Amino acid sequence: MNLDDIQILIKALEESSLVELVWEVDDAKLILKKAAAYTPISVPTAVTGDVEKSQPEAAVSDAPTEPAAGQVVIEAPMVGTFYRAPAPDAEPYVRVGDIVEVGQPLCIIEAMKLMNEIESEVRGKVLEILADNAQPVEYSQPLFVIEQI
Amino acid sequence: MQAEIVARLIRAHEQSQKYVSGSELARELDVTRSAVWKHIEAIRQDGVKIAAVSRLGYRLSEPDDVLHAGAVDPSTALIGTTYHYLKEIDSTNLEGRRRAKEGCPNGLVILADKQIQGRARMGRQWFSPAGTGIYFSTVLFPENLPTARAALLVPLTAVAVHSALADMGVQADLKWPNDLLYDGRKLGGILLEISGEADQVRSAVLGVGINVNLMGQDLPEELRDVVISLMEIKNQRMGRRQLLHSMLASLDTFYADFQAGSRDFIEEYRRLCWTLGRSIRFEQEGKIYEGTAETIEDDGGLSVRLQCGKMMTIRSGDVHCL
Repeated sequence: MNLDDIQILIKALEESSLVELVWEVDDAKLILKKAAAYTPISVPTAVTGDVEKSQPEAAVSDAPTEPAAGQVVIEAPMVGTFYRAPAPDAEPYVRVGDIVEVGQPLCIIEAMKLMNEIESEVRGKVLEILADNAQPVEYSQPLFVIEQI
Repeated sequence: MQAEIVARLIRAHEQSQKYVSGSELARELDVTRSAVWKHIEAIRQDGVKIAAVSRLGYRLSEPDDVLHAGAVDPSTALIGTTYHYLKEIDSTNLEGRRRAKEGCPNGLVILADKQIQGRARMGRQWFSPAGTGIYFSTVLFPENLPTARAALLVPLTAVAVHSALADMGVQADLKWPNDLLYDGRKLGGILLEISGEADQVRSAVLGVGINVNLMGQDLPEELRDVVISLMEIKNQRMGRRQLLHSMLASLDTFYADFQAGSRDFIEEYRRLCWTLGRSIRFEQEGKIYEGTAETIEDDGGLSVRLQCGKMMTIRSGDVHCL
């Protein structure tokens, strides 16, 4: 099986109602799981070495690197559209380099006209913004990297 | 005190007593007649029309339309047990979020006669002039509601409001995900805002807006063909009080069932959803798609059969019916 085959399988899974797909040939085994199908268990507030996210195991393309100590990754608590500002013509909630306080809004995720304002769980400096404005995000997709102060 | 006066005038109306005299009110409330007069003035300032006739007393000019705290008693278990009436506010959802942060009671309902910056999704305006609609938000602190399930409160509210409208003989169409339409025009809408850290919803502010006595001439030109009110549908001015009571009661029941684990409202939403079976166009990730809306998923998402035959489930953004 080559990368193209895997991508076809990912696509097929995405468009199906299945949540998991296991492909086993000889001693090779591929497990694909759909991120959106899972109810959140917890949103990590601190760095863990946990790589068993529900991302397809084969997809490694633009997965962010493991955060360093003292850095916190804020992840999407739900599937939806990511917005950096409260309105199209408004200033973004935060920019890279900004210092944010605990409880300060970082972004909005919209799904089915539910506007979810995501607040920072830590005080710190915004190091990275990992999602683009008005783009769909999956459950547990990393959105911000914040360096704790 | 003002709520007590309004409640007394409502009672008088319900008991077919035409007027309540100033001295009667003063005696019942144990205040002076001039204090009564001052309170009556303050209530009028709040947008409630009170007629005064010398030697007879006071009465409400439009008792069925009064949404003042003294006139609203929804007899619910949670939603509206604390009720605040405001003559005007920037937006009831914004006020709800402020109160949620301060730690208000669960089920608080904030209703404004007029919203200065009535809000729709993504900073869009919701046209809400004085005396013409019902604009309220309820603040909920749900027990054990994962963020990923919070969006279900939108179809739940749609079904609850639909049921209240049906009670007054209006069959509204529920357009996925949050619009109430009639004759293809917008009768009402729902805006849900939640906040919370981690994966649990801490507070949810559920806003509902219904156009009640809005006339074409009240509307900005660009809204005349896209907005409709109950008055246009029923061909008469509609009292807002009964509808508010009925919406709060219905929402209270559906929400209690939801917290108890029931998902029956999803089936009801599927049955009522006007979007299903229609050709729609929508945008996802910058691409435009067309297809036929087929069903509502258990998480509230809309499943669409694309023109190429593939299925796709959408959970955010707008859909346009073709």
